[in-house]
Amino acid sequence: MFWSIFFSSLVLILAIMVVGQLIASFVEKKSEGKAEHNSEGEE
Amino acid sequence: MNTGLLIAVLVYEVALILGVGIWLARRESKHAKHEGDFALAGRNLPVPVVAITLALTVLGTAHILGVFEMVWGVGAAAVWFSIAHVILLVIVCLSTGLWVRRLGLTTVPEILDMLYGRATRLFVSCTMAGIIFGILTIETQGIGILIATMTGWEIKDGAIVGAIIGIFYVILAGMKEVGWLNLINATVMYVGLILATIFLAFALPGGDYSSVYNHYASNPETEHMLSIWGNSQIFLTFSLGMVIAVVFSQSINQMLMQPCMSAASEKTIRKALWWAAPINGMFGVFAVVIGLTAASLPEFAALGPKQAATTMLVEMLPPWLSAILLASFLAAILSTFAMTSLAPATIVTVDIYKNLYRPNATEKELTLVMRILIIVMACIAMAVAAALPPILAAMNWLFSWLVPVFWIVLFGLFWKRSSAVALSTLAAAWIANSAWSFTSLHQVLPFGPADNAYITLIVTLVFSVGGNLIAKGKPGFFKSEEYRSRVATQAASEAAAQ
Repeated sequence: MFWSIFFSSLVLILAIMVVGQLIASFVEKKSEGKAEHNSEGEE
Repeated sequence: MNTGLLIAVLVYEVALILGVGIWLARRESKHAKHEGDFALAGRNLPVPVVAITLALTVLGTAHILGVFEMVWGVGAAAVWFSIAHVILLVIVCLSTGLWVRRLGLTTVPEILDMLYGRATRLFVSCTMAGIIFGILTIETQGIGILIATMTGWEIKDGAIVGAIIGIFYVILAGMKEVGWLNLINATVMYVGLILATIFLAFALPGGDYSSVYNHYASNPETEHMLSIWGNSQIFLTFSLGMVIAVVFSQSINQMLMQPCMSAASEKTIRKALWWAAPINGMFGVFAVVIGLTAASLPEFAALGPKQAATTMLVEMLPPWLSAILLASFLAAILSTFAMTSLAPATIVTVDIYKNLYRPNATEKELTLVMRILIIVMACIAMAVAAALPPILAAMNWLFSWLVPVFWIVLFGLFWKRSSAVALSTLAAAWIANSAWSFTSLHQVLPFGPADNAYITLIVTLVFSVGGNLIAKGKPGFFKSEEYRSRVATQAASEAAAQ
């Protein structure tokens, strides 16, 4: 019982962290691309 | 009464308060030149310190006694209270924590003042004082449960004695010390809980948790209690509701913003996530296993959900371990009691008494008013705690009040800033939250224990999205010139400091 709850929680926690990191990287790349596009436009 | 345990717990509390007090006094005399560094630690905290602080500052009564109690209703799915905190830490470390550090802000009211002006700031400040007071009543109940476990008294009587001890703790320890005490106690509590889970297994028949597993698995009605996913009803009402309440109310929580502001860089905060989230999240696993075990043993189950687990720990663990565990539980709850009684007392004394009635009040007079307020609030907290509301359900209700605050901050940063929309969203969400709790409106939709979080979220989104689509307002702060100049100033001041 203990190990089942332990590992299912651990896997869920790791999955949440990885998904969160992927979303954050995606948003960051997108906003960086937008900023570059804007600065090119200004030039 | 377990006199030996009571004495051991009291000795631990006094020794810790005095020890940390002496250490802090020595430290301050050595670092007298760097006054003010305590709040933001010179903005140079490394990854391990930021991670540990983020993971442990949010561990309190709800994580321990709340989960022990909730296990009775939802089984292993009670771990979702901790999982909700993992999602919260992901959001804090990858977005809100980075924003406040970039903007050089330290409090939620400061952000609201910057986005929407003074009226919204005051509106939210007053409500936050009420919410913090609500948490104080839960902490008082927590102290009552622990004292009842050690003395055999009723929880109500334990809460009265607990509130009196709490008042002395606030006066003895003081605000600066409470922060450090919290961190030390949370660490002791975490290690103690892991040891308790190991020792508990040895004390069970067969030397492991198989008897507990069999207890739930043998009955089709309780089988789902062994899975962290519970059943579909538990997932929709409890688990998801807890995620909404925790994530949308705590993402701009002051206690989490403070370590982010103190971090050496934005990269430090991002890296801290990989330690903070598992440390915080896995705490729930140990609490859930202990709660499930207590509910499966008839002699402890007879004591009911509030006292079964703590009594089991006292009776089944070696005396030294149960003393350490209960002492750290009590100390952690007392620290939160201190913080939650000081914060509203400060808001009422400074923002209302001084600002509106006695602008020329001396420091001595203000301190006296604050002390009287702490005693008055502790007395009211005793009365509320005596009603024994379920801990996690009460937390969920309190957190729901902060859901609209998160969304108006988010929209104000990224989309549009309109004070009228912000104020009407706050008012509508708070009226809906109260109506849902105090009228028969909740009978229309049978949502279960987590319904308030859903209803405040729905009302918040309808009013804020609809309002921003219709009303005129300034563009989101991150799109403004003000933001660019603020970031540039912040970067320049950091470069100058280095």
